[in-house]
Amino acid sequence: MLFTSARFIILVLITLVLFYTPMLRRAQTVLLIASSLVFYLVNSYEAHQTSYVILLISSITINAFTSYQTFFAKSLPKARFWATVGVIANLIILASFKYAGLLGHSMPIAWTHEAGPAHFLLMITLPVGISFFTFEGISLLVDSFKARSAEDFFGTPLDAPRSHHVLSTTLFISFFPHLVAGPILKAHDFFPQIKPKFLKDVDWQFCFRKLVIGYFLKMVIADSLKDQTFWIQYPYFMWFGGKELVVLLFGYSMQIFADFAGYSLIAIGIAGLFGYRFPENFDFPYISKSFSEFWRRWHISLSSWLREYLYFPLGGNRRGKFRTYFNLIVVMFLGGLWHGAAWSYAIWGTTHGVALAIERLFKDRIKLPDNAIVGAFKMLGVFFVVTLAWLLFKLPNFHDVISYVQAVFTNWDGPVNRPRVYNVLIFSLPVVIYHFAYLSLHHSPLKETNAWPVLQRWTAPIAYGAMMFLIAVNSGVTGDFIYFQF
Amino acid sequence: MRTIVLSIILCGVFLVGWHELVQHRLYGTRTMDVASQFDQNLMKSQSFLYTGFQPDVVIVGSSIAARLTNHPKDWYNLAFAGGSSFTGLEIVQRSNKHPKIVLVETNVLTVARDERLLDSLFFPIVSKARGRFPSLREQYKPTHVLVTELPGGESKPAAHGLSGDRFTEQVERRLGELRVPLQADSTSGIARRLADAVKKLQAKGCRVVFFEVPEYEQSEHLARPEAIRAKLHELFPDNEYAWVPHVDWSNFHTTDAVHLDPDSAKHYTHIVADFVEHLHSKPATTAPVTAD
Repeated sequence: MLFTSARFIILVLITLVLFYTPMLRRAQTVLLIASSLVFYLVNSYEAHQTSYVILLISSITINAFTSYQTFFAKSLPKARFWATVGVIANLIILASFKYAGLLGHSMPIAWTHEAGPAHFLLMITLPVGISFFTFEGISLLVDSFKARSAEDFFGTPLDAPRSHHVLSTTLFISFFPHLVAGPILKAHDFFPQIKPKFLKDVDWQFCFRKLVIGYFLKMVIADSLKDQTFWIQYPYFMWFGGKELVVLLFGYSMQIFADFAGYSLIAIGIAGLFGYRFPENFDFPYISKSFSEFWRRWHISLSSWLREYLYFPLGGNRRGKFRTYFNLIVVMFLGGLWHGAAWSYAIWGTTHGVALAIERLFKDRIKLPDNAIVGAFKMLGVFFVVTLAWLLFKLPNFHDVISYVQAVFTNWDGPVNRPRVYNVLIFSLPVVIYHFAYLSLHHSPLKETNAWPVLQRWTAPIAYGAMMFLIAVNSGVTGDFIYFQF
Repeated sequence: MRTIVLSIILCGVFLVGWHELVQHRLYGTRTMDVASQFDQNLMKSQSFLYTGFQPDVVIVGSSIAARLTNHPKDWYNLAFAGGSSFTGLEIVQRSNKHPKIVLVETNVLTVARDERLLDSLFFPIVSKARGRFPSLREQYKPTHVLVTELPGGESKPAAHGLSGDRFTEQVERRLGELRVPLQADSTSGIARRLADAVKKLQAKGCRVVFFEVPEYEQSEHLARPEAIRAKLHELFPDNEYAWVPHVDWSNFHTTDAVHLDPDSAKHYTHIVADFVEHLHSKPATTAPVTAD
């Protein structure tokens, strides 16, 4: 049930009507949970893995129980014990279902016969959204441990019945807008928001903005680019000219942004309709002048999760330079593996980790002038490396990545399919404009003048009207969201 | 709220404006060559569904049959690159067209019907709206129209075959695929689905004719094509179903070990057209089919 499908829109509409029916106000949380389970059930059914609903419910049960025990433990060792049990349970679930295939592929071929261990591991399919809900479970446990001495349990009075915590945990983990592809929520941000909601409090303008931009990025940009970048797969790319291969890779970089940022914006907009605020997940990442800035702007909910729950516990940058570099590389290596159970994702993460470490190493030693030209070069450099690394997402076989790069050079003078190149550039243009408009207007003195609100007042409806028009007449046919596979 | 209302009004204005432009200026613009493979498939299907043209003969198949373009004027080629005959069969069955003959390519039957394309094509309300308003069709996407206006944008890229090592590599790859026989249940599954689709078309009054386009000559007798060929001939026997006679593959040339080059495609299309011409004079004698 994709966000772009009619079934999803019907589910949202029915849930919205019931949610704001005054008679059902006391049942709002239960209603959202019921809709979320329907959403997950349909998604699991479409992926031929209906039984994994039980896995989701088990994960919720484990997290509700262990986080409650952690928070209300009478002593610190007991709290630590329950938090550890919960975190290990989440990691076991993630490892068993997400990395079984990787382990199976890494075993000797002789073990792949029907009764062999590799065959058994390869039969385990990836449950929808597992990477997201296990990380949220860990967040709940760590936050519960940290909040032990607080006067309330994330805004809930300490004498509230246990069932209240069970319901809150269920909603936190299963709330459908973020369930299968994020943004990754943190317990201390979400739990305090669980309270009765009123229609009059909905920020319609906010939701409208998020939904229109989100659907535009997904349906018009990402879904159209997907049919062009389809050719970045072996052996097709071997037949393309080098210049076209460069354009296709550039298009894939735009596509992956539009796909995931679009999904996140739709999730934020839909959560907003129910009175919940999700964290922003993207902040114009392609204007980053450094890799550390890129990771503050790209998939923010994941990078902040990794920082808060992995990098800091490992010691962050407080244990000397070499330990900092080591921590950065380890965190990004694991972050890469979080994206997918294939070594190419690990290489992708490690590439970013090494880039972050090198950047930190040279940051204090080389002082570059702080002007627009140097800034533009830095931006281009980061974009170049980030885009090149996306090849590891598109071509999970590392050998194919090498072949692609080789093909760029060996086929450099090969034929160029102009319509395809035009299409990629036209669909990439809005993403480029989106970033550069922000870049040029963000620090513009125009924002301080009286003309700014007037300009916004008139340009905003034109921009949103144009995006809605293009959604109606220029959408591509929906494909899965790229981040669904994670 | 003002922004929301104004945006909706402006969207409506843009839609009406675009509709007028398509109706009065752009109608008939050919944008097929600038679209992606998937969009081309959609255009082909929408053009089949929404124009008044009632073809006598419809070709369904994969990219292999999609190259048979030099056919008589009262035919329609509904073969899809990246797809198989199953998608075309489903479209003919769900359309309001009643071709006398449906030519079914049997080279690629391992690919299931394209649900994404079918969903997009038959989505309730939208499907009707596209019939009524051409501006909502794939052909008139603003970006497609724009690309045709750009320098070199309208030109169809030259179809170039593979040469040297690449051709050898592709041959090896293709032969490697075809050497692996399909499992018995896969072959039966394909036959069952094809039998279902054929039955529905027969109920609609269409006559089904099977054909196998020549590919690279060394692949002709490999395990996979032989197994599928045998199963299909068993299910649709020559004495009950029309089969375009098998040709000698060594007389044809491919660009990449799979697809015929333009001259060979033209030659084979003539063979099929002659056979259909001959069939027109003979009544159908097909019996209902049931797959094992």
